[in-house]
Amino acid sequence: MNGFSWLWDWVVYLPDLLPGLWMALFLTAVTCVIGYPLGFALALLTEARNPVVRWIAVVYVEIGRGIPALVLLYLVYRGLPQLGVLLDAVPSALVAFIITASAYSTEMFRSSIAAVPRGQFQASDALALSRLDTFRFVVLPQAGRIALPPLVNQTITIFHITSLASVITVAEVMHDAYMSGAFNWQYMSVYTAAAVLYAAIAIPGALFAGRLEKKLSGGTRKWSNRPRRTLMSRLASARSAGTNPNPTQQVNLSSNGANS
Amino acid sequence: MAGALLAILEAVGLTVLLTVVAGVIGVVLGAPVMLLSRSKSAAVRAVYWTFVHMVRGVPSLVWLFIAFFGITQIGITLSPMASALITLSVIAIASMAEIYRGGLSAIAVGQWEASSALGLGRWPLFKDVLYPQLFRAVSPTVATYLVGLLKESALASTIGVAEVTFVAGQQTQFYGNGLLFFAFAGLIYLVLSLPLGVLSRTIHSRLTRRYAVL
Repeated sequence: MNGFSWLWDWVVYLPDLLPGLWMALFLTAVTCVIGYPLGFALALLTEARNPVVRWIAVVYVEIGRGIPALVLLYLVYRGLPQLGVLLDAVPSALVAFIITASAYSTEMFRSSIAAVPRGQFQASDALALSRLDTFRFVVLPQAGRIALPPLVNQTITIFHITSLASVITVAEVMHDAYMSGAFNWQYMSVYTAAAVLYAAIAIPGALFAGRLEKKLSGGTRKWSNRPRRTLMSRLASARSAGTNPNPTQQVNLSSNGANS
Repeated sequence: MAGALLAILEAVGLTVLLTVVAGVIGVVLGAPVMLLSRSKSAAVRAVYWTFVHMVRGVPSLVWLFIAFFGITQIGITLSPMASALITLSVIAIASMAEIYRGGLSAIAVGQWEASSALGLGRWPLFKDVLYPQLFRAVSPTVATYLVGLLKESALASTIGVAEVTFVAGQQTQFYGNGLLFFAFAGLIYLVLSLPLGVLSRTIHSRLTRRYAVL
């Protein structure tokens, strides 16, 4: 009985999983480098004037978002050979993940562009900027700011999704862990090591995305960053200090507090 | 062939069961867990932070394998279904807690100040001011999350729960018609996610009509 040995001896199994980690990072990188530009192009196509183009883009996005990544993976690896398309495990995984990543990022890019205030478009119009210039110099810099934090989170999700590739024999972290576990029967230790590897990348990534969001979103008034002193306590302290509790002035004070 | 498709269709029951059980547990238990994040004690907030980041920082597949293969090392054996239910439920609790937390922080600070100015106590503040707005704010996010949970239930196939994806794989091994079977499985997920979308839109518009504050 080795009840709690896994609490420390997972460290021993980390080296077994490192080759798999490189594979996971490789899959993530290729998926994002191809998937995100594809998603951006699709975001533009979903707003296309030609209804057929628009329709195709929307169907692609709905399928990519609506079908589990695991089913897409099987569809590519075990389904496509029927059409004469025989892909190895790694290219199959990449194709499936790129479909997922592009479909998800499409929605993100689309909503980021939609979040740019209408006045910006009207101002560009008033300045007689061309469609392309409006997009390049006005829309893109602002939409990019909005899209960046979710894009970081999306990349972490893709990194997590690469763990699925093990089911079609791609030698990434979970595959290495399974092999190691089958060899020495220490499944808890091995999978704890895998969890630590994933978390060591995903948690700092998520914190970075959170900080980025706070930094880029500016000073909107939210309950979460409400002032420590409420309006009531401000009124009370103003009264006790003998000053005239002018309501408008007090509200201004409190909104300054919220914005700081 | 029709028999194979029928077999896949019959597996919808387990897919729905996994999604509904984990979804209900997440929606219900996520709320009290979220309150930990608003605790005055730094230690309690640290517990919340650790729980949420650990659960969400590790891929669901890893948790599933820990709950199925891993725990055999400690001498516990769970059925595939029990492992899948426990894993998906814990993940749903952490995710829903984060959704509720996000919804609460989206409520304008003016609401808080106004309640304070009206002299509302802590409980009426939560019950009459914050919660109605909270549910209105998060209902689309919850629906999106439940669709995600539906798709995540496909992971249970990797440890042998006979839900849609697993049976599609089984039939593919048997008849070799992977394209048809997995496309059919994909279609089932698309169809299953439709009612959730409709439901969320109905609830959202109804709540917006009742509590059109912002």
